Amino acid sequence: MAADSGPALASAWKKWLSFNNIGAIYVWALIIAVFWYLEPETFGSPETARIVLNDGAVTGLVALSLIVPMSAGVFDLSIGGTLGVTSIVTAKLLADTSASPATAITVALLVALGIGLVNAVVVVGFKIDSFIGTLASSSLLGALVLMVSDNKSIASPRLIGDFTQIARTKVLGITAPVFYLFAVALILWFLLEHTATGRSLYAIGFGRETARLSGIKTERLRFMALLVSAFISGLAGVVLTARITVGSPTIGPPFLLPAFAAAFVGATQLRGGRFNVWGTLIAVYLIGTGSTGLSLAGAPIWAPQVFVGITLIIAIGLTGVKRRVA
Amino acid sequence: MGDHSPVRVLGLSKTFPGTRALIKVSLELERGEVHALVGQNGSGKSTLIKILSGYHPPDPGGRVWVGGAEITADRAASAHRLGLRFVHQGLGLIDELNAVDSFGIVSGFARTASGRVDWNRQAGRVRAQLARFGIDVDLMRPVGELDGVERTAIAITRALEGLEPGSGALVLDEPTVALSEREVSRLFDILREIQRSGVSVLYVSHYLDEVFAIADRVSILKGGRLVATRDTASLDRNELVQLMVGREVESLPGRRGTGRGAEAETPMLRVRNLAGRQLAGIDFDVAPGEVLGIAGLQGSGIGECPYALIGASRHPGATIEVQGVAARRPNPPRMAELGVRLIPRDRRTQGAIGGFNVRENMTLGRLKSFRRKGRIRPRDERVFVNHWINELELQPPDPERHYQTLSGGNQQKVILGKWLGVDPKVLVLDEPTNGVDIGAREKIYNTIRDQAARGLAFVVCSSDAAELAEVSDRVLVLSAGRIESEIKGEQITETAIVHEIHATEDRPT
Repeated sequence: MAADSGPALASAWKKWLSFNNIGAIYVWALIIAVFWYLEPETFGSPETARIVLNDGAVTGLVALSLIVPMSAGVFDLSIGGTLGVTSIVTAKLLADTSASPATAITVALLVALGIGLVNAVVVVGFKIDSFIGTLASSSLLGALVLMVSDNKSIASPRLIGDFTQIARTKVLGITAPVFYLFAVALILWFLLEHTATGRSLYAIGFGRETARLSGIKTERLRFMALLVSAFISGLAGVVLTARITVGSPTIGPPFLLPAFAAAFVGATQLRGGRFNVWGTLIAVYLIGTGSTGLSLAGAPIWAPQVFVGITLIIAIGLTGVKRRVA
Repeated sequence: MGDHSPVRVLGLSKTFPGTRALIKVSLELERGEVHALVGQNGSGKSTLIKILSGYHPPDPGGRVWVGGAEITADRAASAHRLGLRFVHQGLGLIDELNAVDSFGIVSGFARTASGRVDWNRQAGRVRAQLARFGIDVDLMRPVGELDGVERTAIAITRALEGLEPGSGALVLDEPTVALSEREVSRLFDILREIQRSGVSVLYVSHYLDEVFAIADRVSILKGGRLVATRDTASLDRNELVQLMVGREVESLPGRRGTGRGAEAETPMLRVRNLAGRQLAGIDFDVAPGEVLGIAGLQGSGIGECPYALIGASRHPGATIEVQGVAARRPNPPRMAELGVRLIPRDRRTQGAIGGFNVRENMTLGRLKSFRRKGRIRPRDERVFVNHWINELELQPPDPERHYQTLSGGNQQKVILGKWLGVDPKVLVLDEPTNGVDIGAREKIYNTIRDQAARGLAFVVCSSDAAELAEVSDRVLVLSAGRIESEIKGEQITETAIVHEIHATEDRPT
């Protein structure tokens, strides 16, 4: 703004750059420096940067799928299950039918929306707590995956053909999923931070009763939020299948915890306690960098999970302290 | 112990930021008396009790003795051991537990040699405690299923456990709010048993009839000061009300004579058959520019009234008309559409969003009006917000300030701005100055008057009679879910309102 004088602008910058606001970026830089120092040959190469970027794309999509419902105070524990179902449905359609990739993807995304609809009816319609309701549907989705896949991986030449291009097309060594991730991020960022809908979602998350008494259609937005999370995690399932060119019955659930970790760490960044898009992406790549660095440094196989757990506790702990002081 | 009075308080004061809740209060209970403590809302009753129970430390200089031993701030727990016991308004019982467990969780369980709970011995112990005061209840039923007086009796007996015979004092805070008339007389029988056993009772109540029925003496608090301590035998109702109200400011400046516009063209708000759990279907009109006050004790329906007016009550049947347009089945979005808005008493969970700043809170009621091409423009929001910040003299005048860091008065101004900003037709205020400092209070009253002069209708529900006397053109007094009386124009004085509020003997049954 033109009216901002020099010192005011400087103090705004200082506030933005403070550890409280973007601590994860400083930690990220520190992690990069440490691994660079330890493993200059491997970790220091541009190839590693590309691997981290490309590997984080699907996790990033799943994490972003949480942002909308979490902003409105709605948990969606079924995102891992949804990812698993869309993945297996896409693979099955391509392997066992003559459906074109476009048809298979469309059907899979419609299935995802269907899952979101069921979640929304359970949570908003039946007024069942979202944590419990989506936990239940997560179990049902696990059953659905087993039913469709017969607990076997699905492989087919058609999964390797045109279909895989949606995940393997590269620009400057960066694969397509990274672009999907940033496209989704931009849309969600606009929705949450620049629209009345976004403001209303945050209002519901912070104070549902106040929001309701303010005339916000809280139930409608909570309903919509669960459709959004199902759709985005469904998209992640399709992209993941194209990336690994196989439909696996065990692929979904492992995405759940890292996604939540990233969303929670992300909420401590940039927007002081609000779930937000850029904070979440920073967290996804902070965690991705740490995990990649640890495996390159020859750390044991359990080390990355230790890293995720500790990052989460520290991030939440630090912001907890911040809130008590303020 | 012998000669020492069970509780003695000398020069007790308590200062909160911005207010002095208690000013040099001295009080002494005599052995075996029922001593009533009365006063209007905000007179300092709860502060006094909270100091006695060790919840608040008093200002330095105040002294408290229990059974002759002085209690200092760092030894508040010893008050219990010395015999000062409390039953607070909510009773502190867990509905799902039965009487035996309710005692056990506080005073421990009887055990066998192997460490198992000895249920027979435990039940016998509880039965004996209750029998001391002639109380007989089903020990195995969850207390939530017992009636009000049985629950109260359990809470009282539990509080008195372990007292030496002929000693101790019991503080009872509003014990009859949830009781029917018949239950109150049963409770009084129990209290007389307790009194006979040598326990003194400090009895806090809003029901003046009960004070005369059960108390030997009464102490009156007003504005944090002890006005008087009197024998109830030498006092009548009118004198008591006068002591509670004190010397009243005669005619308030700005009072607009008789209730204006009561017979005006179309009423701004027309309410028929407003019902709820306590409200038994009341009717009233509010004229454009009129400030209608609603008074009543807890349980009279005053708590439900504001919510019912915005359609947030689950009870059907009410017809609410705004300028002749009827809402058939009132619900919050529909009433908002018709221009009826509520400023609720609970700011934290219903009035505002704690995680938002001033701007985000103030614009929450009309977010869509700031949309341009699908986007909210913070710059437009700021123009709107700055207008109300100036109008309401918000301190500090910063739209980006975190809501939670504001004082109570400024928090209330934000909510006031939020709803004045949507051009409402009727504004319902529920305890509008709860936790609001004196300066902000004046500003809020002035804003109500200014906005009323522009035609906005107000319904102010308040337990503060002085507040109602200051802002209302007309006051309805609720009792047992019905309109007990109506006070108009010149007759609206604090005394008149207090008189009417406390006059009622009807209770919910």
